[in-house]
Amino acid sequence: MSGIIAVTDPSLRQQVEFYRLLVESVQDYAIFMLDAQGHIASWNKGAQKLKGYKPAEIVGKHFSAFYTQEDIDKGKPQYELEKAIKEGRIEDEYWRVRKDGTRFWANVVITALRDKKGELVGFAKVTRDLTERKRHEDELKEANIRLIQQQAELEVLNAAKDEFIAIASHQLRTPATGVKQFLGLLIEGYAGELSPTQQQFIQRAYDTNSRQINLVNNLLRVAQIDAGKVLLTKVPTDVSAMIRDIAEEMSDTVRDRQQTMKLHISGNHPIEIVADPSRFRMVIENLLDNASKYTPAGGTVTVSAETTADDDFMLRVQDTGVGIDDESQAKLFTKFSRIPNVMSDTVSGSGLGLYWVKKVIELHGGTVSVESKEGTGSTFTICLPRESRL
Amino acid sequence: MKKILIVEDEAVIREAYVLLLEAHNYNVTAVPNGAQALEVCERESFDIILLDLMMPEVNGVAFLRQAQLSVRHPYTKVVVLSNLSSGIEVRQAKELGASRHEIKSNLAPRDVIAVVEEELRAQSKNK
Repeated sequence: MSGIIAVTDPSLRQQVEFYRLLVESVQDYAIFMLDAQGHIASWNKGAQKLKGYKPAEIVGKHFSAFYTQEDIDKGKPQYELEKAIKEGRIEDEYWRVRKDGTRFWANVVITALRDKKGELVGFAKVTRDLTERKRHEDELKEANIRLIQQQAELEVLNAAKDEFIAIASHQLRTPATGVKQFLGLLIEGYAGELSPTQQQFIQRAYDTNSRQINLVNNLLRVAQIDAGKVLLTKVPTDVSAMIRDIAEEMSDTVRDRQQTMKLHISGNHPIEIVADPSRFRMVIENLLDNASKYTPAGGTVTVSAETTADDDFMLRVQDTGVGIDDESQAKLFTKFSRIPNVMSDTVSGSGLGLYWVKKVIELHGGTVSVESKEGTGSTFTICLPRESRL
Repeated sequence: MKKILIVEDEAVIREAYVLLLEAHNYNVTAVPNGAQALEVCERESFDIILLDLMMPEVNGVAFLRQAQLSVRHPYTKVVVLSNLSSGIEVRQAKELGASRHEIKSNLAPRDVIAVVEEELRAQSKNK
């Protein structure tokens, strides 16, 4: 190799020896030198490990042996040398070729070496094998593309599901409405007086039809809230009046079930919160209806509403009913969790009501929780933050 | 006798409403779509229109847009009775003058009568 000077100074010679050992021993990098024309002039252990050539096989050969045929055809080896000469160094990341013809993803730095006079004496070339990193990056990219595709597919499916549920709900409710109207006409006496047995049978058909309509309504409500399509219309709402109104509406049912409903609304002034009145009303109706449904005759449903010391709003619906076991409590607010009603040996409801309640309360920025003991009763607590208070 | 127009494409619901409202001595006209409702409204005026939204040909919203009730029949009350819970159609119907929206699957016959009576009371106050 031209320009290499014999070292005669012992200390300098030792220093050169250190450098030689350092470079030759490195195994994770291919470190070698090229002469000014690009022929390989030195070869370290790392280069042998990475590229597969022994020194005798490669020293003296042109470094383009490490490039792919496409890169050779494009003149890349020469271009890189010229660029290194011009700019001092060049860094490249691309495919290179091993002795056995296999490719690896390389990070290559070629540095032009000059003597004291500034004459080019050759190049230092450092190559790292980044195939593993490249593979991980490619896998990540592919996974990312797959995720984006799956996301797009999911959005399309979700939109189709929403549309299906909306249309199906409408189409299911329409004939059910016809049934409800004619059964209602019979029950309300528009076709003459019915015998007690006829009245009883038709009432059962009417109740079943109402349950079917409720199921469809619940399904639609949950689909809407899951799709993020529920925008609350929050206005100042007198929740004390709302509770009294619902209790009044339920009074016949509670009396028929031989239960007592107690209201504890603290303070002399109405409790006002900022809420979506129609949805908040349905939340309270849902909790009260559940409390009554799972409480035997002689039991009590107590509704308490108060503002806490922190000025939060707290609503409690407590019953002396059958209670809920620990396992059922854990999944109470999840979709389609249905609790067997030990009072009627049936599972009533769609398993969507409390899920919907939780979602609506969360949209209001609040929480809903349950405490229950089997055989003693349950207490559902809704807590809305002070921002919801007027 | 108060006049009520029922615009409802589902025959079984339409017939039930006719039976119910006639039993309460209302003068009832019933049509299955918005196109026929427009024709009827050319000739007559009504105290209340019970209007479905999803109907073939001219739907409820299109009917309200074309009928221009606020100009031609300003005292007519429009009650939307639809099984659509909410959404753009319900909002549009209200913007076009419907005074109220009820989900018809939630209404028993007595509830339908209560809605009609409430609207008539509100109407007599406005007249």
